[in-house]
Amino acid sequence: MAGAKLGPWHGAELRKTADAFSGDGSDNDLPEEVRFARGVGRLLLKRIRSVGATMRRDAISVFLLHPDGIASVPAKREPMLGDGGVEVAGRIWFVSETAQSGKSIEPPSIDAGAVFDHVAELGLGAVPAVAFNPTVEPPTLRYYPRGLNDHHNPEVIEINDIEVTAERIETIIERLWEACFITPDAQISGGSDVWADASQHWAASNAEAVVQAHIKAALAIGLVDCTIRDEQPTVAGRVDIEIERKDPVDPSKWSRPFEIEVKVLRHAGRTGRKTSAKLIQWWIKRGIRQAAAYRDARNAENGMLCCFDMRNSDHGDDYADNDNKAFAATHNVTMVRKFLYNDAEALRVARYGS
Amino acid sequence: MLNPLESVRRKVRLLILLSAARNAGLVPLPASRLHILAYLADVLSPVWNLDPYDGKVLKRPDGPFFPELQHDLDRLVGTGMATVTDVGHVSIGQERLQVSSSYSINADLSSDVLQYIEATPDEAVAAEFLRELMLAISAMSDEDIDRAFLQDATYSNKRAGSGTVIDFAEWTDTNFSALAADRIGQLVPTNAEVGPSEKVHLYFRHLQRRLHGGR
Repeated sequence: MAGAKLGPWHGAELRKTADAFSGDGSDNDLPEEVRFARGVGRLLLKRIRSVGATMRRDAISVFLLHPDGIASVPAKREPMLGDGGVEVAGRIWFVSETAQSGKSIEPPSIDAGAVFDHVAELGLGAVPAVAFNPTVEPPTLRYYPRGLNDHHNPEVIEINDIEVTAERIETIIERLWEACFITPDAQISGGSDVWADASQHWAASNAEAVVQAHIKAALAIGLVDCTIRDEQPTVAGRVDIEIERKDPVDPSKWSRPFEIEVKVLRHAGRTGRKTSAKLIQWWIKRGIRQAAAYRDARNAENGMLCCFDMRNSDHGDDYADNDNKAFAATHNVTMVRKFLYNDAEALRVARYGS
Repeated sequence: MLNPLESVRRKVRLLILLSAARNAGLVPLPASRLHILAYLADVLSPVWNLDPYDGKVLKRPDGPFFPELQHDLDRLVGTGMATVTDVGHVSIGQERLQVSSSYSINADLSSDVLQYIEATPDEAVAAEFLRELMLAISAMSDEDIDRAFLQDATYSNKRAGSGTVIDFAEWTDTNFSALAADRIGQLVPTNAEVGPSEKVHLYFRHLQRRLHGGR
């Protein structure tokens, strides 16, 4: 019956493909430049895994989110780029957001500075870029979301097979918080604004969704060897963020290192209605319960509750009361909290005193 | 006689398709490849919960070809929205030649039109689908794309012989390609709920494996 419905295709063959390539295309909801950085990271990780010992190590390569290439310099499309089997060193690559395929040119020199200069001379210095440096051990990958012209603030992408630990996830969330959420000034404009009225500590109604989307994007770059899924259904409800990791050798083997529940702790909502301390603790307990339930329902290894604290004062480690701390310990749920200052002055006072 | 409204719809679709192909680094597109991509977009559109523009295709040994689409593509070249390169000819047997050319989008001239088109809810979803479809296909070599129809679950169904019309959405709703994409999405080893984008990518990964004997 199942075979007949698929015409000439067969379910058993499909399973092998699903094993090998699950996760491909699952990141289509990420911002284009984030997906690009992740795509390049994944192709280089595949390359290091497969030919790390023998690949060319004498020159950097630069990847640009510019799939068209250069009209004046014809280049053949390299479709197998994303599989990691193509030598990338010493070239400037023009790729799409998935970096599955690309076109490349040879710069006038393999000197790293000259390669950066050549990108600028091509008029592509403001195009999102990733630079891969295999001349050092371990090789490094730097992501320049605003292009190589802004080469002072790259984001380092880890491309090693490292275990997914709570500490690693917390570091990724910490970097995100510092870059985007610590004060309203740090926030990216537009939809990422979690404040309805920062001066009054009023949170936007979609604050949790905004934080969740940003954490997903940060994990997508921070854990390029993992698939980051959101809103997965379970009998216990929908998981905010789920991390899947395939075995690098046998893709049919996989693990789920973490299920993450995201909560925003509000001083007040967008209409100014205040949230009581009791309700905050109830909200935290609910989050702990969800993280534990999702972990168990999805056979994941760990559960994590990530709180973005938007209250009008920083309670430090006492943001959760002792009852909730004990509840989290009992259910083996890791708790992470980041405090959002409502203006830059509040941050300065917290760090340097009033 | 060409239906003027249908012709406008096809031109809109062509512009979105050419833009998506450019975004995936696939342009310029030889005409025959463009027709194959148009067919694959039609047959997989239910995965994205979209209706195909054309729910049937004439099965030809050389792959899908839509005369109306070609007519509208040439009109787009006439308006300057699409550009043509690599003009030449190919042999179609019996000492006959056919003009062949490759097509790209004129990004400068079409950007305002595309912005307007993609601001309409229906076309925005279609643009999202075609964008992902082209990105998925970009993992295949040009040679594999040119013979993709040979292993597509619908086109390669042996029950439909060459010269017959394959109906996958006009009078019947048997679309093996869309069903296969859904099925492969249900088979991911982690039992995750898989979205349409991942299904489309997995479909082409499988199609590519079949083109290479299952490897």
